[in-house]
Amino acid sequence: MALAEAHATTPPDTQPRRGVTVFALAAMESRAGVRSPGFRFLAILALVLGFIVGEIPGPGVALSAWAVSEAAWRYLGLIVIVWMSLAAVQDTTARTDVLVYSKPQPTERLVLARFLAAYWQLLLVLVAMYIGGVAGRLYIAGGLTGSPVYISRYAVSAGVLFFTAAASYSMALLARTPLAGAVVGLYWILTLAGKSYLAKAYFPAYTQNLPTYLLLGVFLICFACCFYRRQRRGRAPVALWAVLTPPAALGLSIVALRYTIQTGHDPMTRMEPALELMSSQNATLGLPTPGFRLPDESGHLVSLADYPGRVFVIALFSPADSESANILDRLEEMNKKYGARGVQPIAICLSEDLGAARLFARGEDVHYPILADWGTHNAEKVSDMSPMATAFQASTLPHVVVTDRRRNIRAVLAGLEQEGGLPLDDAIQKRLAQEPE
Amino acid sequence: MSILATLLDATRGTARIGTFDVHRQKDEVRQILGYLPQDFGLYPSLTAFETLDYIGLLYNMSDVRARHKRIEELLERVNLSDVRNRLVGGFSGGMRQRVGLAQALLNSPKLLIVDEPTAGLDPAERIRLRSLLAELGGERVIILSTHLIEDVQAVADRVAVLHKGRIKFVGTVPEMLDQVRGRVWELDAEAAELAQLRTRYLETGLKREGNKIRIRLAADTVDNPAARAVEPTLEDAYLWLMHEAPNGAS
Repeated sequence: MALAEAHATTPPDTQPRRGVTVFALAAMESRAGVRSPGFRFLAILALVLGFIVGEIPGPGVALSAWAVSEAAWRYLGLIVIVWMSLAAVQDTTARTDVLVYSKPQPTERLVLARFLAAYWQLLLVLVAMYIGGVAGRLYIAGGLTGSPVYISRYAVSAGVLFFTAAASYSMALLARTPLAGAVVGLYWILTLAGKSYLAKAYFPAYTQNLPTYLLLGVFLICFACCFYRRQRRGRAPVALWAVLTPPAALGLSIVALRYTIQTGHDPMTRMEPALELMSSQNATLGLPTPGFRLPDESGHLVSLADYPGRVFVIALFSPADSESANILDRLEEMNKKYGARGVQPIAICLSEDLGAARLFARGEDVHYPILADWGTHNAEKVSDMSPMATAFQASTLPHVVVTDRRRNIRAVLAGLEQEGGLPLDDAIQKRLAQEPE
Repeated sequence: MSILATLLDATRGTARIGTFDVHRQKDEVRQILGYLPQDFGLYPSLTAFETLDYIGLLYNMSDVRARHKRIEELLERVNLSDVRNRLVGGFSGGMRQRVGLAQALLNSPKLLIVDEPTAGLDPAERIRLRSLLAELGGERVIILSTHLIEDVQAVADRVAVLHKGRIKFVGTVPEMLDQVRGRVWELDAEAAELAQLRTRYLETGLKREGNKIRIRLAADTVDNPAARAVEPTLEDAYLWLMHEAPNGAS
């Protein structure tokens, strides 16, 4: 039968049409993926890991959510690199490419569909991890006060893993070997190990860097869409979105990076004069406490002047030192007990991740401000970690200062080594006895 | 085959399918092409139906009802309706080949390329697949690449013999047989004679019958009174062409 004759006999209802979306292809591919033993194993592993790290007591879930999100980027991040590197070459190794790439689909649609399918599976694994975290928290504490922060941290984790997934997938795809994903793996290990000697802008896991790295991920994946199996297209042009998106995403990513650096405080890149001024103060017993003007959970700048005539209990803590975060519970206790008598607790969160303070403010059941010391940069000595740690000469965390109503420092309490925790009650009662309202 | 299926670019020369240049008009070629590769993978965790559904999407068959109807027809045709909801990961080689054939037919291709479809299959599956191909040949152009002469005999209207990238013969099956007609001989020989016969003539077959060895030779003449001319087979013709014919003979 000649080709022309065969053409005439093609049933009309099976004539190929345009219009299958990338999501329809991705949905089918992810259906195949979620049934695989690899996915099931990973989901169970994530669930168990989430349970273990999320099993943290306390009045609110902040620390549990924080721990799960940390585990997500540290451990799951590395697994994602391997997973996506393998997903990129899966077609070639499993020999499905000869079926897929002989079909009339644009290459960029196939590449993107495969990526979305693999990333969707990772999102499900991440869900398993957070469910594990919630279960762990319920098991140990029996309550989920502040539980919406699990959702916000999930979104952050998903964003971080998007970059990891896009980078490793693109590398492995373009190099046509999963080993290329190891480049991303090395970078990941470097960020895990190099906290104190790398600029904060290098860390994809920090909330403030998310726009930069999300856009970079978009750039990488669209770049791969344009250049993978270029010869397969013949005369057909690359889709417009695949041509326009990479330069736009890269440009915006650079803009976002510049903005983060220019508005940040980092000894490696740029020092903010206001924070330098804050760090130049010296906390001395009997003298006025170092002043500050730091953002609260909503971004409003808070200073001591906002609370005239109060006895301040100022506590420095860091989510990286989960023991120190227990001070938040004590501060809330003091707030309930002595708030009406003019005691004002203020917590200062020392974290390179600017989302941490907001997380603790929303995830803990507290009624006092938790401020972000946004000049924090990891260092070996606590006093070198941030402008406020330097100003308060903190050598261990938590570091708590109690002032009188004229803001002079009357007591300095540090660490949790003492029997029964810090003697906060005594210090405050003493202050109130000398300075009743 | 990979070049015709638009998976590989030719290092030189051109290939056309109908009016389409395979190198430049790949998308147009893919629209009219069905391809069953020799070595291919399927997603083991999809069922036969889902596999074809996925391939249907790759063919841009966006109308779900029409796509599913077509899949049901094809599953019926390749005799996989009963196992439509079984994961293809658990399929035998023959069943996988039938899924492969069904996916190649999904878009009702004007041209079907099948590359070694029966390789590695047991005799029953081989016959089943061969019959299917013979049936399909009435509806469309099929290019079948094979090393198995039985496949050619069962399916092909026209045959091309390729050797080291060059066409040795193009023609119908009878024309191919004509290439060697009158040149195929059989004789009963002693074991000691075999080596000498093999150096002088092209051996196309040998079988042992009791104490005797019956050897089949291809040559213009055989210098042995016991040799008798026999009807050629495609195997004889193939071996003769590989051994003897100059480039372009037809």
